[in-house]
Amino acid sequence: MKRRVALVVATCMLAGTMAVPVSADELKGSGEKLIVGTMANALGLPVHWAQEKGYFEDAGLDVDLEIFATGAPINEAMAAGELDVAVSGMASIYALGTGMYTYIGDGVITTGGESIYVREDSDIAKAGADEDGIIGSAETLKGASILGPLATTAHYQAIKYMEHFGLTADDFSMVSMDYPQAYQAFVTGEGDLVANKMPYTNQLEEEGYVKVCDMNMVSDSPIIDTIFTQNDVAEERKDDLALFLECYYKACEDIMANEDERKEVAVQWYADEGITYSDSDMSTEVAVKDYFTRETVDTDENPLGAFMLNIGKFYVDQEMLTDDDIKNVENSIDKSFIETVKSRNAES
Amino acid sequence: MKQKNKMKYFCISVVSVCTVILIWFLCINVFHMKSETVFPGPVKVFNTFLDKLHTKAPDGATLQAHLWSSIKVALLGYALGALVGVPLGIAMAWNKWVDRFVRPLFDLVRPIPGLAWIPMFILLFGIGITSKALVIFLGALIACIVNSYTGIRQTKETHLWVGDVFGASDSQKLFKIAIPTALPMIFTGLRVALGTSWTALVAAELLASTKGLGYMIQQARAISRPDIIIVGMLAIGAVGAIFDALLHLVEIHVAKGMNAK
Amino acid sequence: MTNGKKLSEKSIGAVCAVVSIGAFIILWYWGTQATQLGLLIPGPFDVLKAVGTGIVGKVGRHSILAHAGYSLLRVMIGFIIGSLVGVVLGLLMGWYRIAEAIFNPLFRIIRPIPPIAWIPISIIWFGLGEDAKIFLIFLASFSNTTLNSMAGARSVDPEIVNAARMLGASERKIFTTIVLPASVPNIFAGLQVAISSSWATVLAAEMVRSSEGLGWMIVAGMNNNDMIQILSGIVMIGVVGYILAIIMRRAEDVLCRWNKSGK
Repeated sequence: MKRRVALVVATCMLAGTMAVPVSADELKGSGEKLIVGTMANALGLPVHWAQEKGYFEDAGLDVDLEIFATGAPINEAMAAGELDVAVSGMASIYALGTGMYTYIGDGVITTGGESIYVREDSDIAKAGADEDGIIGSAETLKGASILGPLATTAHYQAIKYMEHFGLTADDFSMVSMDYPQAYQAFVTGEGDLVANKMPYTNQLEEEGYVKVCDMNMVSDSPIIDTIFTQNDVAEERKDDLALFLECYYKACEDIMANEDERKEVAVQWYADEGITYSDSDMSTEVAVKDYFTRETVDTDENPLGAFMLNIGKFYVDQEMLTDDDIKNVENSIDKSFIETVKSRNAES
Repeated sequence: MKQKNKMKYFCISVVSVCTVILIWFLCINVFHMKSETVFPGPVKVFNTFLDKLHTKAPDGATLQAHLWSSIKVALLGYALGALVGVPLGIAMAWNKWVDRFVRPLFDLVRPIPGLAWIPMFILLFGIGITSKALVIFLGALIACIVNSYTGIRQTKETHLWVGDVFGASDSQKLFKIAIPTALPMIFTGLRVALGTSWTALVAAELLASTKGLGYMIQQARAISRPDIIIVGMLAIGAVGAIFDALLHLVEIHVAKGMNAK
Repeated sequence: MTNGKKLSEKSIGAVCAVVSIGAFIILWYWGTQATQLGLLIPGPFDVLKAVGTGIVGKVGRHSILAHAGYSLLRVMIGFIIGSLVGVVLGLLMGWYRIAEAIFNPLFRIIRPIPPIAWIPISIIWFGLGEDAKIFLIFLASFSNTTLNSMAGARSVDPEIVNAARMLGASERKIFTTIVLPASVPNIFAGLQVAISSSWATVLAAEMVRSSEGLGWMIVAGMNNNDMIQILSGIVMIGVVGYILAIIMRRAEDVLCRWNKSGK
């Protein structure tokens, strides 16, 4: 206990000393409330971290954190004007398609942990893996039902997985269930497949279900989450947003550097928000969730918002978005904030 | 004279609905109180409605397909609820012992929303139509019981005394006096129950659906398409109103003007 | 003498209640112990224990009683506004043709739309705070009270009205002294349904981002596959709803004494 306190104190002191030189005179936090909507998972962790460590306060920001279960209500809250900034997942594409928001930063990088599972004794599992290591076959998958939430990475993955075997959205049914319910229904014998994410994929793995594919097997790129803001906030509060991003990536750097503390803070925070993570769940999360740093964000190989545009094109093919929507997504990407953060980082 | 009056009131109704649509139009399309991507105006909603009659995108089925799927589930749950609820309500009002034993459980179960049962029903009955119909069944059951009960309880004691004087048996008193008295209330109950069933629908379809109006709304919510949400809401409203009107016709026939003016 | 009779009546009722609820709990317990059911859902004593510890300790940020308090407050505000509007509108629609002509088509379309379907719209209109939650509860109580009050105003015996009219009563007087009292039984039936459906809407209401309330307990339980927490929430909603129903019935007994069949 004493050691833990000491660790926290030390980190805080370190953070305090670090924060002073960074907040140079060019940027100034307005002290006005900045309401940020996010989720209690790896995605929101840097925001929570920055809040806990006082990064926002040191930067002169007054950040209020609002926690949501999924991306859809975040979009609704953004539409209602209740939030200034959203740190959200794939559902952001639908918000960005409206042209009301500005894309200012890339969030967490998901390299794994999002997978589809079947039962060991099912025909799909018996069909075996193909040359890409993906299990299943067109015959066994036709007419199958996949449990999982709609308009999420799970849905995306399900469509991609079916596409791999030449099947379209008409050839299978996506049974709309949130991640936890989908997991529970699947283990009680419902559905043919389940598309899920952490920590449920970890539990499915431990319970001996067969993983037919992982996200990185069917997706062309890792999943990258988003940070976007209201257009008028992007106009009027440039300094606040740049400082917010700076604190966010600073927290990301901390998280990547201190694995033990990451686990401790995350598990505690998730528990406070009513989500239980076991040690093994958390270890898997560390393995499959990476964060950008001020150096790695928005590079030539990985320009800001590239993933969203990719996804957008995919959804146009699925007729869930129109070409006009994609133009809005393209126009929403504004690199100026991230450039400010990067140049300030280079100076210091 | 009566015909003329009817016409007049019909016109007032039309004007009232048009006024609301006009206000909606003015707020969104003229004064731009909200952006159309946040809260679409009536024109956009109407266009989406026409679109949804023949396009499957973006939620996987046409409006009619969703509608049909919902009606099936709702009617199944409703029929079960009415079949169990009306006799149970009558029995509770008529027989003290039934009341004493059933009421405590009923009172405990009654306030629990259908939505809350879903995780348990899924565990117990799977994700098929059974779970959804049960959610609706519970909603319909409550309205049927409450109204049948109140109806029977309204029976005038003097009427029962008359029955006694003429030597009516208990069952004769129930079927010849109490139930006819209660019919208007029972029918109110059946109408409320139909409303509740239809209301429970979205809850039922919130989880584990691949089709249905509730599913369509949920899907539209997930992909930020408020126009589809409103089309879904209005479809639920319109179909609910049609059901209600149909039941009202039956009500007039069966209750023979007992409560109609 | 009458007192003693009343008491025994009450105690019979209490015994029956205990027996029927007890039988239900035993059935549940037996189900979880003796059959496969036990693998899926927790037994009654696990749940009751969880409720007990939740009352003493905390679920999330508050004790269970505090959650119930938050929910009750929301429901009461929504219910009171909704039933006031509903009773007035229902009586008007039941008695005056012109009011019916104006409001009925709108009411008919709106009534079948469930509160859950209103969630996205209410967030747009009212944001994520208390207003949106109260609005959803308002909707639930409003439609039930309107429908029943309307039926009540229509069920008035026209002979009585005609008699009053013949004796020179003004229309307003007829409305307040005949229509209103005659509608009371129906209004109360409506209020009873309304209070339970308002209370039942608390879950939908608290699905609009909340961090407290019994609905939140269930939502959080669902997000966590915590059957015990879900069932504790369900039990608490049942118990509080039971208490509300009893209060409502007492009120009806007092106010509608003349209407009881008096068996």
